[in-house]
Amino acid sequence: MEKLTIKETNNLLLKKDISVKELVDKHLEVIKEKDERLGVFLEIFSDIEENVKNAQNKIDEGNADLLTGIPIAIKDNILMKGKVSSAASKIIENYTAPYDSTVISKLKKNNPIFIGRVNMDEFAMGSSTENSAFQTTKNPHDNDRVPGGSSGGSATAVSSGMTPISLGSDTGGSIRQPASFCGCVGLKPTYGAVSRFGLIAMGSSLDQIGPLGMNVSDVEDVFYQIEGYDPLDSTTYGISERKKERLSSKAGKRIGVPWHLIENGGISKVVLDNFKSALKKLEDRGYEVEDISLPHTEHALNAYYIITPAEVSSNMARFDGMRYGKRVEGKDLLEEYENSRELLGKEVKSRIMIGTYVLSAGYYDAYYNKAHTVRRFAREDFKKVFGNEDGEKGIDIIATPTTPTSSFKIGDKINDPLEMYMADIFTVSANITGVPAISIPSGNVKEENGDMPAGLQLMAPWLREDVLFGVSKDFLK
Amino acid sequence: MEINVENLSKLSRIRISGSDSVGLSENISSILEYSSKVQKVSGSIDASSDEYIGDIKNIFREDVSESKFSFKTSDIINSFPKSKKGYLSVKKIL
Repeated sequence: MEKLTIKETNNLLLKKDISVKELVDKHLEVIKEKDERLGVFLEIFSDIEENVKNAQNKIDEGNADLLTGIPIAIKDNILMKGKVSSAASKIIENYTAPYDSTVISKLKKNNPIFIGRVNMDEFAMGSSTENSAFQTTKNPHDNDRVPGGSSGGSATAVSSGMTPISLGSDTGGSIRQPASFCGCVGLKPTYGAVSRFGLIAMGSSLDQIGPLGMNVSDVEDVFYQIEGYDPLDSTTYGISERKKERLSSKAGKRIGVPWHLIENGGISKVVLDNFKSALKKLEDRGYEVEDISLPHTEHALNAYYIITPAEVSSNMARFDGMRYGKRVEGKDLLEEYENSRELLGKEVKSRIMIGTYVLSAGYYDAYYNKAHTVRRFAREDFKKVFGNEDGEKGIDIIATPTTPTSSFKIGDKINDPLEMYMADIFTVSANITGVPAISIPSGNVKEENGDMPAGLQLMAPWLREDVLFGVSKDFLK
Repeated sequence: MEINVENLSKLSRIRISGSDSVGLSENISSILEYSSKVQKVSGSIDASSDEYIGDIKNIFREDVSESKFSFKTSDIINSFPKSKKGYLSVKKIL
């Protein structure tokens, strides 16, 4: 069952070879068997049975869509009306969403089966899912290792066969890095491709919701269901812009590799070897691989850890115990703020403080403004290598390893945030520049206790997710 | 790099206590030191220029009520930690 694509499963459902109930029960059995050990779900929804009936009716009436009856897991920072969305934080542990996020309302039209909400780093801050206030999720390939983060629950859910697809969110690599660590496919769409309405914000100028799955075709299918212009998110692209980009040119076969970034990224030998063989495989499939230079992107991670905390410090200001979440009483208003915000975890507090520092009058120019400049310059780097509007043709896709190492051990980096941040060194540039990026499995690498998955990251020009899907399928076929 | 964490926590309305304070000052210092490498990049963009703003466009609209949302006022009021007659109730400020 886990080898089937959504399209194949949909076919079985339509032919009545299986029922929605059988399909869902199969996945619930896997959850029952593995979840206690892996720590993926924060909640299994109580209305699954009702949804199964509705989906089956839709199929029986001949009104089924592609995702009808397909089980899906949702990251705990994506709002679903009437359900708790806690972002794995104590401060909004019991917060019930009063409305659906746009991605959820789009999916609901299809009647998929929402199985439950899955674990993450608190407010999506982290690269290992160890920062959850509730539980630690384990890597399905080695339970002593992390699944990556912050969408560690979403990646483990699909990699362990609990659900065929899941939704995550990616601010600096939070879909791609766990996909790489767990051996699945994860897409961070172009900034503005998918609506952020109803996503609990971390870094608003970087956040994107995206799908994870066990194959490219599933991730592609879910992406086309959730993308689109949304009047409730002013940063989403219009339909005409999307069409214009996608019809503008057929993708060629030139792949650029920024070797100067990869060699300075603290990459492990096994991951580097794995990446080299991935490039060889692409060459064998008719791609041309060339060296490219992205000079300002060398500072992308430096800039990221200024821009993100700056945005975190303002986005987290709403969690003060006043309008929602938990309020911890105090003698005056200020004490109530501080008492309530004590419910936030260490990493969240640390990022709020760093953000406050880089935005303070005395340091604003040296930090925030400079980071913003690096961001603009990095975007120019990308525009240049992808070719300019005057018709000068550049490369079609950029390839890097998704992460500099494979999954690390639980507890290894939790006390050294800077070292933890390095896990995002190859992924942040797609968020800083806004381009779409995907992580696909590129085989296993040898680690201490056995083999662990590694990932290949591909980045395409703005709104060219279609190019990512095409090259990924060529690579994996 | 020396960071006055006590002052910073006051500015941020964050109280640091117990296990949270272990290594916090060192961690914040090392992250800020790492981030400060952006200062090595030469050139800057004028904050008042179009280039600084980039592709961001103006989204102002007329100040009229639009019912794009699916929720009711009562849904929001119900999620207040404390309310009185439909108002959000907070400690007095003055």
